[in-house]
Amino acid sequence: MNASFGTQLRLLARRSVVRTFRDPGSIIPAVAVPLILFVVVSAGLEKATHVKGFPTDVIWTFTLTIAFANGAMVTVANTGAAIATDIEHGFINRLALTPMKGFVLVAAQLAGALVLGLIQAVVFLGVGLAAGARFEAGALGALVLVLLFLTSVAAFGAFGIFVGLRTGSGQAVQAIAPLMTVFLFLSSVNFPRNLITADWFKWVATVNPLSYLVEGMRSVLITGWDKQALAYGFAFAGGLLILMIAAAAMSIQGRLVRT
Amino acid sequence: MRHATFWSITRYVAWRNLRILLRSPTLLVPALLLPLFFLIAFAGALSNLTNLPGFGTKDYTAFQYVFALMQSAGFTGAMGGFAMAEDFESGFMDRLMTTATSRAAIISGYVLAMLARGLIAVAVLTPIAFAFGMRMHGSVLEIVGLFGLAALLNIVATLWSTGVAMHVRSFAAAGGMFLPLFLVLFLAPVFVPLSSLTGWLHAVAVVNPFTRLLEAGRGFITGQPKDVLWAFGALAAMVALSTIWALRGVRSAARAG
Amino acid sequence: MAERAIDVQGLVREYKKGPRAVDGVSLYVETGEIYGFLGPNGAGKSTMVKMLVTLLPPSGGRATVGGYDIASQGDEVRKVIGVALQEAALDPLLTGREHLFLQAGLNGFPKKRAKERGEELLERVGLSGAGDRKIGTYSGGMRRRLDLALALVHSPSIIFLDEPTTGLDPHSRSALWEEVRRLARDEGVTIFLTTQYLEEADVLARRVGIIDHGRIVAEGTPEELKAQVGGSTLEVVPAQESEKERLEATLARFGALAAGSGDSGVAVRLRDRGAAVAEIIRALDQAGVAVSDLALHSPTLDDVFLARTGRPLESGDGEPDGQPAAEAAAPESEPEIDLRMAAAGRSKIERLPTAMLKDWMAERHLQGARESARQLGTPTLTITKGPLAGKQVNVDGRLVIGREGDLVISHPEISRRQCAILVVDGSLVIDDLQSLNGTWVNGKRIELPTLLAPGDAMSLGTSTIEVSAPQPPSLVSGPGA
Repeated sequence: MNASFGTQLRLLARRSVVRTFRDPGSIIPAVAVPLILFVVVSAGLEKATHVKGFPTDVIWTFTLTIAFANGAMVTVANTGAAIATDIEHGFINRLALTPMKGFVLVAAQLAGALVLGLIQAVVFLGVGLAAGARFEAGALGALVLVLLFLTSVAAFGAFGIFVGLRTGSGQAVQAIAPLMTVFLFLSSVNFPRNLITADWFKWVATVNPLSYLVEGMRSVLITGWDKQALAYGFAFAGGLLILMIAAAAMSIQGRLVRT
Repeated sequence: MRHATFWSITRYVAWRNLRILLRSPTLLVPALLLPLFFLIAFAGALSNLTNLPGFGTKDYTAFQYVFALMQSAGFTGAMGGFAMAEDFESGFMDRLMTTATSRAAIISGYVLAMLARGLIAVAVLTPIAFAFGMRMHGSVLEIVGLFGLAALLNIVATLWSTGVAMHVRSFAAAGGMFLPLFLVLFLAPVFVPLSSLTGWLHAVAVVNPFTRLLEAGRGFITGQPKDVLWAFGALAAMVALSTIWALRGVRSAARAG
Repeated sequence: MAERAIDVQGLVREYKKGPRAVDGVSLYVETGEIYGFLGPNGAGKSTMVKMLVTLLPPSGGRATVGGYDIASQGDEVRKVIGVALQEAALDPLLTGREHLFLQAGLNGFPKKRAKERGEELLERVGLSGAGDRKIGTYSGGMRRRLDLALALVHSPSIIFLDEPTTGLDPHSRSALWEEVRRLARDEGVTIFLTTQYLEEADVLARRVGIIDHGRIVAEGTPEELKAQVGGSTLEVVPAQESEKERLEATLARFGALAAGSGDSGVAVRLRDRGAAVAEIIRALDQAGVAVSDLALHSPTLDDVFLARTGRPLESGDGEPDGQPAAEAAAPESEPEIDLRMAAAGRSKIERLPTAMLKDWMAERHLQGARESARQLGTPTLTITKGPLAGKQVNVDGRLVIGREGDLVISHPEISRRQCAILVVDGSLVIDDLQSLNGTWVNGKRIELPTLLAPGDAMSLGTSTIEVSAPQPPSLVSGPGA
């Protein structure tokens, strides 16, 4: 008897969601850390709105993107750790002995990340709005932001699965997380790119693809409907997603050793 | 066992620590990387903030350099506690405690060693800051004052963390050492001077002694000294308190045998 | 179903460096049979199993499981086999029921049927009560049971069990044995069982294959194999040690002498199963040798192994596939520890050739000690009596190799936990003095004083060690002296 793809996906996705919520170690950092960053940076940068040309006069509107961008990156550690656990405990062998297909496992692992992502989005929106952030593009804009956010959650989640499969070690995955934060801070997440006066940093931010994701997210808050920014943002998230799922699907064959 | 003087024990502990560092220089990496990263990321992204009224200087890199310098000094000091915890785990501390005639000298050995580490970290950090456009606008005396602040902070961090290590005598305390340090560092005027902070952050920063250090340091580097007495006074108090803490730790460790 | 459920011909598994883990193994298992695969740690048992269950491709040779080729028909093989590996392959965050439901679902059971099957199996392995608890809370025995249940979900006709009872308490062990017997007897399931416990193989298996260093060294039913070894061994302990020689002379008439298990016992290999015992007792009586203890040992599979390889089976040996050696204790005997190395509280059993000593000492555990020894003075340890008399030892790594069981060095100045360096069998053990004290090493019990100071003398066996005062360098004379 062979279970269909759909059944396999359903069963494994269910497992992924259940596991995510049984592990407070994956939920708390995903929600708390981005919020802390959001609050601390906003508090420190409150006067920044007085800089000539600053696109908004409420700092929270500008900095809410930090929560979403950082929140998406936390996914790497979560999905990576989950698959590394499966490898370390040998559960991957048990799965290998069933008729389950490798790429179904990869897709299913993203289910947990996406459900957590929904919760993150709700919390960030809630806190942001309470702090006074405003959406130039209105409620629809907020929805688009959430969509972009979830796409990047999936993209980073797939990246995490890829790293977890290649290294097979939870520790290696943990080491990646700070690296991602470095990447994020070397983008235009903290300050509008056109207002950066240090030319060298402006260059760094311009070549950093994360800037485009961040600016896409930010556009619905500070600009309204900026088609180009949104296009870039979705292009980055979508492109990364496809690339990483392919990479992970290839790597899983190496872990599901079976003749 | 011939009696060794306070100074010779200090020298022995410090020298041994330095050799450990030379054997694995990567130990310095975390204490260096984080401040460096912040320096580059913030100095780069937020340099436009100097255009805000009342900022006081146009050199944002110098402004951030002071923060990175203090971070670096603080982190390398905190590593003293780590090094000591390792020595407890390996049994070396037992040996030392039973033979050293002055146990306080052990602490001073670590202080000396961490000052050396701090010096190395700063020696790496500073040229990089220069490369990114920092300039020191203060007089020689003022620059000496700047590094003096950093050195004192380093000593405080070492005394505090080794005190913790003496009380706990194992690796368990490791995480606990960094967290308070982080909080103190970030609930301060990180991006803008104290005068530009508002709301709750301003209220917290005002009582944070680290704020005085930052403001004084930034004053030194821009040639407009301010809060000098405050800063050194706060540091002096912290040195005294942390020394007491460390010595109590020594007594606690000795009692445990 | 083919008559032979498992048919292996010249199976080979190579690794990039080092010897072959499986070196041309051929065997077969008939349908419905329980086959015991026995061997010391590192012999290649787990590697064999991994290949047969398609989790590892073979480097050479052929094998069929359930009639399907393991290399080219992996999917079909997996449909007919159930596997419970050495490490229970479970997800710590899922409950028992969830595991079974997932397994059943992935194997194609529709929802309702999957739930039923799950309950059935939970019942069978006695975990119905714990079904809703997360695996992270299960004991080792419970995990093994769940693992077995998962292996049985799709009613396979061939089951592979890799060391299923290692580390289990006796109660769980018998329960598992009962289940294995039942599966073979009532359901005609073929069972391939690997184990390092000869008792297990002896009791459960109809046929046994003994593997060592990747090769089969013996195969057959337990009775056949033991019969090949020969007769029983009679062990006699004289009432007085002085009688030992006369005892030996008397016993020598009845067979080849062998080493007794204690200092004063004498063993003789009998040609048969024990008919001569009565005669021996009469002979001893006539010779006037008073006897305090007399025991008759029938050959065991251990003896079979010993006869074929020259080594006892249950002492644990090298680890070519990198698996940690388990503690080699048969439950009833004294805690026999061959070698033990404790580094910062972690214990590993390993043999340490002398060449490795320097590497080992580089580990943190002794680094501070060695350094302080160098900085603050190295005491000289001189052996004054015994086979190593006159030799000097310091803790810098230049140690003397002694004969088995000789020499223990304790350096009281190194650390609070006095470190002992023991030379056994040409290898070195470094451990806490406290932990070695009172344990057995290669048949000798170690009794050590708990603290040595300069001027102390200590004896072990036939050697005496004296500790002289350290020569302190002066701290004032500078670092690195």
